[in-house]
Amino acid sequence: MIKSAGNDIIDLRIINIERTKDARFYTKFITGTEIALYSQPQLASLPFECFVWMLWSVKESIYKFMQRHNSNLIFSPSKIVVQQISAPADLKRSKTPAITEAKGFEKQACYCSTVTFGQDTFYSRSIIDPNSIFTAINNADDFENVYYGVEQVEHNEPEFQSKAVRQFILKRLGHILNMEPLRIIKNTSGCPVLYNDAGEINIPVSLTHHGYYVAYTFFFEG
Amino acid sequence: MTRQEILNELKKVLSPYTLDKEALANIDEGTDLIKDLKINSANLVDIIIDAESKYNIEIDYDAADKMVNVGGCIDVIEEKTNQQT
Repeated sequence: MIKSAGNDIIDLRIINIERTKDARFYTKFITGTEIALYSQPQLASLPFECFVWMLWSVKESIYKFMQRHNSNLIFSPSKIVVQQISAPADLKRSKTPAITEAKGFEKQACYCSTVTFGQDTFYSRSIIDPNSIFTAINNADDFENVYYGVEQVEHNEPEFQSKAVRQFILKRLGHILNMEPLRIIKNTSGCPVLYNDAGEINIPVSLTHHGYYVAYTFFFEG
Repeated sequence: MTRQEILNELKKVLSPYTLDKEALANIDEGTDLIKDLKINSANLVDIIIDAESKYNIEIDYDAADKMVNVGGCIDVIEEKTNQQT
């Protein structure tokens, strides 16, 4: 089983809700069988725009996860198919922002989905609060070794976000690995890779930013 | 429309989604929307919808997959507009 990381953040404050609800928009990446999932009673309190963007974030996360091992992979969201979704048992959309750093999702109220992409099956965890959707992916239904962090930033310029998310994850990795200096460099296919002075470190990392949020995920068996 | 004419018009479609106006002014067929123009992937569907509206075309799943760089966008727009004539 390959080891990788994939995540995605959506800033719900900057999405176009009207456009999101337009079938012309969401049918570009959501299939008919996926739209049917929205009618299940446990998703009744989830706004449709959140459903749409949750599915986008799941598909984007899986693409990132797989792209680490296949640099020529094309992002074809319609070929990444969400098969089932379950809502958190204690379904109350959090009134506080989902800004957190944690490991695993046992303590989080999150949406879980099972997804297929070709012959492969993936599992997702999505934390949805009124302002954001954060999704992390794994290829086993086990997130014990998945570390993640979500935070808000002051600016939405790509360069600022890129620096902010690197500082965010490297601070956490520095504490966990007790190793410095660490740095992250994107490879030729745009996939982030962790290094120290001795060379590449075999810990897959995934970075994401959107609007005024940045987030990271990494897989570490420590 | 020539490919150059499509490219010039494409700049207007891409403009709302990139802050890097200098990079946008200098795009060529090899320009990657995400890596070079720093367009957030969450806006890729917006670009497809806006291109559909601008050229009065319909872009299906398979065609949309190609719209990750400027050359791919031009290929799709050229192919779909030619189908109409």
